[in-house]
Amino acid sequence: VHVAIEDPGLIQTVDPLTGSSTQFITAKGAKTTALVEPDRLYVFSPLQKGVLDLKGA
Amino acid sequence: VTADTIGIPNSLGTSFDHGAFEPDPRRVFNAHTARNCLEVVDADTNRHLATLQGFPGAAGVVAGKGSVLVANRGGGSMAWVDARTLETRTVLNTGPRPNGAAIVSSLQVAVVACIGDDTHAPQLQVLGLEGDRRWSVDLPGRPRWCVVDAKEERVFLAIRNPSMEFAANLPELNAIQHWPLPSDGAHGMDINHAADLLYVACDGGSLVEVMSGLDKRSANGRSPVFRMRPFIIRQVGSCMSPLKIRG
Repeated sequence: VHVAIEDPGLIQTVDPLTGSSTQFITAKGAKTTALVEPDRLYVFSPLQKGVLDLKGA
Repeated sequence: VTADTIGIPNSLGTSFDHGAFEPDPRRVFNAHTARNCLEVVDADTNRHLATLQGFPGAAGVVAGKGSVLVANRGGGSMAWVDARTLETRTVLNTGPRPNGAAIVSSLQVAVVACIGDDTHAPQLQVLGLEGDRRWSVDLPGRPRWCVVDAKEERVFLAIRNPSMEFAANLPELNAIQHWPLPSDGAHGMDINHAADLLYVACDGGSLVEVMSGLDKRSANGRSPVFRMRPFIIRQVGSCMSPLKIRG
C-alpha cells in the first residue's frame, strides 16, 4: 500500500502482510499518486513541475 | 525503485490533486487544480499528451472502462470525459465543492462526495451518467476520498472529523453504516478487491486496514463485526493523502 505524505514529501509503502514499510523521498507538496499497472507509481509533484515516475513500485 | 520526471506545462508554483490511470488506452489523468484543467499523460511513452481546459478547481479524478470522471470543486460539477477521444461527454451538477469521486460502470453512475459550504451540508451523491437519476444523503462530517466494492454494490467514504468510514448501498445510498476509526483525520482510501480489504490513510499518522466485506453479512443490522488493524506510518500531524494499493 503506497501512501503519499505531503509534508515533508515522501511515499511510504507498507506491506500489510508483514507490517514492514519503506520510504521514498519525493518533494514537499507531492500529495497524490496514480498507480500505473503493473509496477509504476506516478507522483504528482508541483516542485518538480510535473510527475515523478517511480519504477518498480 | 528508480525515478524519472515527466514535465507538465505551466506547473511553476502550481497545485495538483488526484490522478487516475485508465488501462485502455494506458493514459494517466490528473486534476491540475490551480490551472482549472485536466492533464493527460501517455503511460507508455511517459510524455505529457494534452491539457484539457474547462475544469474549474479540478480535484477528484477517477477512471474506468474508458471513462474519466472529474470533480470540479470550483464549479460545483462533475465532468464525464472519454478517455480515448478526450472529449467531454457531459457535465453534471453536484453539490458545493465536490471532491472525492468513484465510478460505477455497471450502473452507469458517478459517486461524488461534496464538502458543502455555509448553507449546504456535506453530502454524498450518486448521479446517473445518462438520464436523470440522482440519489443523495447528508454526511456527518467533511468527506474525503471514496471507493466502491468489487461487486459495485457498496460505497465506502472516508470522513475527516469525526474520523470514520461511512458505508452505504448503491445506488440508493441506504443501509448506511458508520465505522469510527482509531486514528484522527480519515483521508485517503483504497480497496483491495481480491482480499476485500479497505485501507484508510489518516492524518493522525496511521494507515488502517478494515475488512470491508463483512458489513453486508452483519446479522444484527447494526455495527458489523469487522477487523480493524492500524499501522503507524508517521508522527501525528502528517498529512496523509490518497493512497494506492498494488495487488
